[in-house]
Amino acid sequence: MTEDNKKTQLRDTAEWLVETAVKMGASTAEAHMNHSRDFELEVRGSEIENLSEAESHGASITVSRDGKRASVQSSDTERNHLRTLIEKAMYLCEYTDKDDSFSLPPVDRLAREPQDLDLFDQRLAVLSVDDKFRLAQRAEKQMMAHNNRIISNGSSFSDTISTSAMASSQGFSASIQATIAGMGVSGFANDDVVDGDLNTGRKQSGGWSQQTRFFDMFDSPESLGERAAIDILRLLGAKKPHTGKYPVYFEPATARTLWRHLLSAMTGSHIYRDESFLAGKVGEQVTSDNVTIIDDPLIPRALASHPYDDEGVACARRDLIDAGVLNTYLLSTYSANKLGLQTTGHAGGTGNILIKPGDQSEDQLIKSIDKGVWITGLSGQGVNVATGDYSRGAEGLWIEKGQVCYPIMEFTINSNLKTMFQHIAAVASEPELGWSVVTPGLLIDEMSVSGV
Amino acid sequence: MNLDRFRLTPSRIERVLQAAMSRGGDYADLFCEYSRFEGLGLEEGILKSAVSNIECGAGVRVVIGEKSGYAYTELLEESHLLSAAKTAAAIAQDHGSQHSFSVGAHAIGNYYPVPNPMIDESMDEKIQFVYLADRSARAHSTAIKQVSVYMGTAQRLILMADSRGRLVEDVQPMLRFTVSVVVEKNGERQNAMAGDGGRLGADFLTSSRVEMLAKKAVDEALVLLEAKPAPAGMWPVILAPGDSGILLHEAIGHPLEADFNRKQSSAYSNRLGQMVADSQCTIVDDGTVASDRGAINVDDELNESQRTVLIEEGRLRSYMCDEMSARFFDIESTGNGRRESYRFQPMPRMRTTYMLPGKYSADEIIKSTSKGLYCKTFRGGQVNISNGNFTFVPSEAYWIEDGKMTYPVKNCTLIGNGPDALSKVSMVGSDFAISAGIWTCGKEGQSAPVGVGLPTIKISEMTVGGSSG
Repeated sequence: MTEDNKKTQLRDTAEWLVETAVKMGASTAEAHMNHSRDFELEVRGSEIENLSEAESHGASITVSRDGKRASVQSSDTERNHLRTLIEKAMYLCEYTDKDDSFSLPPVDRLAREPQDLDLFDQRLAVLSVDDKFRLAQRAEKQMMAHNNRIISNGSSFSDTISTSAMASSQGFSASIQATIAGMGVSGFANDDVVDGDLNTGRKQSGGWSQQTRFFDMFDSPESLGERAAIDILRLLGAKKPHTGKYPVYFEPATARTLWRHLLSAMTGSHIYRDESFLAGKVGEQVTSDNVTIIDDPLIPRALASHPYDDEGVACARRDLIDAGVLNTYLLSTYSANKLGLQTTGHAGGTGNILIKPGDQSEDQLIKSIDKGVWITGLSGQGVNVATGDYSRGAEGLWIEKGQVCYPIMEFTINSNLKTMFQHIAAVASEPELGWSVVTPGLLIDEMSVSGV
Repeated sequence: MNLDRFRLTPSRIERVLQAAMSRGGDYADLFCEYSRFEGLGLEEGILKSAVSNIECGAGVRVVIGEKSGYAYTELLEESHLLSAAKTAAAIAQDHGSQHSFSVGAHAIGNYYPVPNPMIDESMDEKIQFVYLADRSARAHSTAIKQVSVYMGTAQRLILMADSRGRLVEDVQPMLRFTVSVVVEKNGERQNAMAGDGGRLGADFLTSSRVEMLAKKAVDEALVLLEAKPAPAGMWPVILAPGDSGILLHEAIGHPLEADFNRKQSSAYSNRLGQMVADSQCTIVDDGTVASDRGAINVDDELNESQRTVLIEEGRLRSYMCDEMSARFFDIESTGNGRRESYRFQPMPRMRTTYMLPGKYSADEIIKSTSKGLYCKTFRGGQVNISNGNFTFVPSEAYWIEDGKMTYPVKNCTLIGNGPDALSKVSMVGSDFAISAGIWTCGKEGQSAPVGVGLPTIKISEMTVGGSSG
């Protein structure tokens, strides 16, 4: 079946699901249909180690009757089966309670004519297995060539061609096709073990990967291999840093995790439950004034682009934080109703998040640090969006007198997100592209570092 | 056997395996799964969500040495199964065999007989417990701001056949019940969660059990309201029985999964037979703990479940193997080959990982500590299997002064190094507990239900990530 036919077919089924639910007595119904073709190839030692292919299906429908809601999902999209599924949903919503805040989105907010955001790459759809193999092979080869201490953990190439459709009882229906591909490579090296170290088998591992919607947007496999090699080698010989309070630099890959915590704290479901340190803070200064954040879901070809959200609401570019001032929460129709506000088209998450770069380069920021820590990796679940408490395991580089001195590991960094965002001394000038959060690195004045 | 559920017959299975092995390979397997899930969520005093989900599909895998080919389909007609088999076969290179692969039913034990699966109980029966948890939490303290209750029930039917001629079926029930609360006092707010479950039936949920869980969540949140920041630096750490098994799961469990050791990327690669922990430590990974969340009758590649001793009196005895790794090391599989669903290939995963009890009483252990941290419950953990560094995050913890527990502490992460931390286990308690069944382990994008357990133990020195001092 051609991809265009698939689009029509899924949209028809989504519309049929809604019609059938309404016939069965649903007062509202929203249906989603998905189909994807997934491919993954892994290479180790220049040979294909794993080949996986699949075609997967999904149907989901949420119904309500008298303000009582229920949802059902299935991988079987055959219509007789779907009919029994809707019956099940109608049965379940006899038991849920009436929820006065539930409604479908305001009709005038629906994406009646969704923008075409150019999310489908024909070239990716026809790329041969052999081509994908060569790409993964090249990335691995370059990583290995960089230094003879590096041992490969394998490289990979994966892609997904997906079609999704949505329909609702307000008459909304639409479908989208998109491609997404990923390429990555990782490895490790045996670490230097000093006398008395109980961890005699210690290695340091690392890697680099990239995701894009269009084949021609990939960096070269060689540059991925190069970055992976640097990532592995920079932690060799790492030791524990001394406990104390220091300035902390987050490179783009770790800065991204901080922005994710901020976005999570802005999410409507956390706000209306009063489980966020940003509840009640719209219009207030919540970060230092060198922070400006834009959400743009409408960038053609970009990773997190989508013309409408999970409820069919048209998406728009928004300033989320402007010079440190919180402009908006991230709301679905439900959380907006809870808070007496309007949906912001964020049912299902944000679009492409753009962090405004600062004036100083990463190098300049590092040079400004007398004694401090550069974070390359974080681990653990010690983040509490309700209280802002922040405590995570980390690894990185020790900085002294503006220079990177040696790698460090097995330490933690502690603070509170409220304090951390208010004390961003600087955002660096070079954003790392190719992720759904496009951010430069950033420097925080002071955090507690626990080591020896 | 439920062959009909997957439109299978012995001869159809034989044809699929034959197509899978048509270009050669060491072995091939067919994995069929029919899973049902149901989730009920209460929030703000009302039952807000009821979700029902069905997943059904079949995957065919061909393995040759360390290489594998895999394809799955959700369409169960023979043509789709044969096409999946051919796709998987692409990994192999030769002409293959014309050998026939007849399969025969293979019987297995049952560590979780459940006559009344919770998922099949009436809605009236299920929702009463959800409301009860909400009422109990609210009645327990006036500081309550929010209560969320979740009940997840599942039933997973798997049917597997392989080119070794085996045909195995298993039914895996699951129940998970959690209560989360937010409390507020003098403008300060804290949250906590308590849960329980496992491969259990409707008999497990009782009013008293639900009330106890609700109170446990509230009590923990109230303790946190009084908590102070933890001191930073290296301190002795005492771990309470049960939940603290998270330490083993991270510090030693993941790095002993055989795929990492086959590829030599683990801190424990090539260390079999060596001392890697204090001699008081005997650690096992066990798929046979009755009704536990980590129990399996058979793994997801037709190998029977077992109790595997990983570390015996400090000495490394065994990795956790899937079939591919077992063949690589030329040993029998330890039955650790698991997968999230038919959408994934199996890999070595833990089941229920615990340390056997030692000789000290919990009281002796606490009294022996002049200053240190006592950790009671945990939020989770994470490990880097290559350098061995792991973090784990306590939710309820107390500061110890002069052999006594003093004030509760909050916002701290513990960080250690596997081989280092286990060599510094200075006392192992005689008490022992398996944690309540709520843990889910994530690895390379696949999640799996697991169990953990531990007696009270003392680690002489570990980095406590706090912010005071």
